[in-house]
Amino acid sequence: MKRRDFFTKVLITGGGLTLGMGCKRRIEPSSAEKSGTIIPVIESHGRTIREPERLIPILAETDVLIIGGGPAGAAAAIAASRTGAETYLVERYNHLGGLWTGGLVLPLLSTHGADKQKRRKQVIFGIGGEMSKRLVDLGMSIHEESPVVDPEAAKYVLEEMIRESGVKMLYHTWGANVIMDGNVIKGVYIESKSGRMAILTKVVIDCTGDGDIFHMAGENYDVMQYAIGLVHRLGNIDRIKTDKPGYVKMNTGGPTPIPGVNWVNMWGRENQDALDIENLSQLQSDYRMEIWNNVQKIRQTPGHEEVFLLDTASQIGVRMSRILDGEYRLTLEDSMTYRSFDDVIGLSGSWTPVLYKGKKIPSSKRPFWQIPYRSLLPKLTENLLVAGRCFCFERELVEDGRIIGTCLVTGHGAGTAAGLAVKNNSSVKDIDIKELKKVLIQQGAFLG
Amino acid sequence: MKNIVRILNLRTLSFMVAVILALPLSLKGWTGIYLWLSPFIMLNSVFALKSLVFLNSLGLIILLFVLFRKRWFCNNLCPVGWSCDKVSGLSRKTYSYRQVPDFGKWLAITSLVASLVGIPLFVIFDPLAIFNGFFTIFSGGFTPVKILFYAFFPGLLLMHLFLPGIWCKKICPLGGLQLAVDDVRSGVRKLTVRDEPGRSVPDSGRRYFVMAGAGLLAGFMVPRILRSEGETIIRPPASAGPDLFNLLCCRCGSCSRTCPTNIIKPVTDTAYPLAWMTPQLIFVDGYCLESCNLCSTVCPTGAISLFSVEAKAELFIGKAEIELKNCLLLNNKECIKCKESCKFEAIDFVASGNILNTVPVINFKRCVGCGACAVVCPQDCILITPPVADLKILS
Repeated sequence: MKRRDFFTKVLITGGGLTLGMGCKRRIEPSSAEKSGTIIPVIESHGRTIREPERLIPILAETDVLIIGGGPAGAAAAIAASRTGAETYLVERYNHLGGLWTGGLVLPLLSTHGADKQKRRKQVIFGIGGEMSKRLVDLGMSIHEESPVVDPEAAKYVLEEMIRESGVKMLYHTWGANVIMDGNVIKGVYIESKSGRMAILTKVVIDCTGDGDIFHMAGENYDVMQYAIGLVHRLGNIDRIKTDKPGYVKMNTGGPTPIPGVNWVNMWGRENQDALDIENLSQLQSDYRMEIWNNVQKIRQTPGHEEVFLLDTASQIGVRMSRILDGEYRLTLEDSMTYRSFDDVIGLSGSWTPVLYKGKKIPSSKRPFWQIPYRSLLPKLTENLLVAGRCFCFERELVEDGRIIGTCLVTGHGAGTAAGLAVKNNSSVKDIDIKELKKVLIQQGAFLG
Repeated sequence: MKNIVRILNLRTLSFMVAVILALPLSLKGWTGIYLWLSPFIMLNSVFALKSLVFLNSLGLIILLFVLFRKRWFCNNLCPVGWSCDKVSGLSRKTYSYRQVPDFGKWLAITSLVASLVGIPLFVIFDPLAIFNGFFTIFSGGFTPVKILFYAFFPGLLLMHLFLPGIWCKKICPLGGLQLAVDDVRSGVRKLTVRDEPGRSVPDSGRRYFVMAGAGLLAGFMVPRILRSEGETIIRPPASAGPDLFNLLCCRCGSCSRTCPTNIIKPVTDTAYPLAWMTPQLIFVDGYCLESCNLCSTVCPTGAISLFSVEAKAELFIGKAEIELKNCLLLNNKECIKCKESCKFEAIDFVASGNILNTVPVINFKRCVGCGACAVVCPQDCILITPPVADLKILS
């Protein structure tokens, strides 16, 4: 055999042999342990005490009772009252508007969304739109899209609208427990300076944000742990001297309708349990110290001497807690595909970009999305409606579901539906959807 | 009816199927299936990577056919052969090219031997790669480099107007491989059937030796001579190291066609001529989906190694870097987009000093560089940079 033939054959044989080496080239994951999910636990120290049975005075018997006077609750109360029902609104603080006003979360987000021709369009109308319009008329609102409002003006406007519509207000009052008859909600025990009382009603709307009422009524729900913050406002922003030697640009938040006053958002600590009162108290305390220290730091920076801490929010900024397990769970896909529902009660817009099927959809191109009546309906309890950030949507939609604009829309829908149920003497689950939509449109709502 | 049957022979049908698969019709994994049929690509990949994947068996089956039927692939499946023959039919001339050496065979032998010691030298001349590469023309965005690349296949066809049949007969390395297989077959026959003196193969042992030697030398020397672009190109997950990738990649464009988020784009940067038309990831409006391994299932050469979807958390594409100056969170705006979009829990919000100075921080142990955060960031503060060298696999 020639030498070169030998080499050639060695090479070919070698090649053949390597075929068998290291067969199956496929990268598999190494067996890593999966981290367990965190289940929220509210510490009760394991000890309990039995409360003695007692008779509770009935404060009132009414048609519609709304627990929580935030954007959703205020809109729901006005809507129910305008639909002709006698309405009570229970609010734990001394103002209407909840986080929008007392929480100093001033921007009314998601007012606009893109229509099918990709044109940006206003979608929040109805009672929410009316509030917004009145604020504009007062000159207490800046920016056309997602306006930032003045909190005191918003409190005033909401108060004015509540008084005009004849809603009976109960401030400084907590919804303490539900009055159930089987799976039908008959009223709510309230707690206030006057002690424990009961309000009997035909329909209850849970606008607590945390879903306290549906929790007590025994509904199923998802609990989401999210960041909790505390907003504050700074004054004398217009007196910052940028030409002073040693001036450094400090972070002083964003403008509000009042000249010289800025609002400063706080993202806050992550993964907080908003249903643990010890935790909330600790956060409140820590945040107050942090804000004060931060403002002192700003004041010590050359040029910022006259800036002062105007106020901290009277409500801590709980972003998310319970999410109802309702008749229909609204999905991110619904919100991205112009999904239309037969029982639509309103539309909401968008304010953040989102990743959808691996692609970025910027907020300006995001569609407006319909909210169905079914997602406000709990599965188990009769005559209970849920509005505000705890209505039924999937977690992927949280950034759009928890927003003030969406709360105004769900509030309006729930209020009108409750009013109609009372008027027609039917259960909220059996109301005539066509009539509901007709009345909503009469009340100025936009249903696409 | 008879006419239709005659027109629709296996090769015509094969051409049609190949065109349909090569068109950008979002056919997922099917778009690259033709490349797996090429025994030339298969052998180069297997020799270079010393490992097999399941789909390599397609190439092996074709190789088996070729062993028993002379140039079976060319005569029955090859879409390039079909189109070359059609163009050659327009020319009135015919040449036998008896005097021309079998370039294809020597390309194939050199390439395969070079593969054995490290690099597949001529895998980009595989006809199926040229054919499929041409169809990436539909992805748009023309640059001089791309136009040069797209001109290759039409140029090849044009050549057949003047030199009919030249590619298939003499240049094609896939055809050359089949010729080499023929040589092996007749060599085996010569050993077994001794009394057949008339039919002797021309003495090609010397040429084999020279070309194999050239391949050996190339395999050792080429990676040392050609300096790659280093770590500046972001490749699809589970890609080979930069030196190997440029030579292993056959530029078929299957990965870029199959990508559901359309982020795999060819490199056309004039600074890296070696990497021209190889895939890179551009995170503009899409990111590398956490539930997708399509590019790895279509890559016939193993430049993008096959991986399972579950392994994606360990395949480092790059790493995210945040430019905090414009971050909404630091400017007291409401935003959780990067953290929310991260499927690998690699972003934490950390308060630095004061709770009002909460900023997103990347955990590099978890960040694979999929680009989700970079794409979704409303302020475009996040940039994906190539991974640190020691995290890259297969380098």
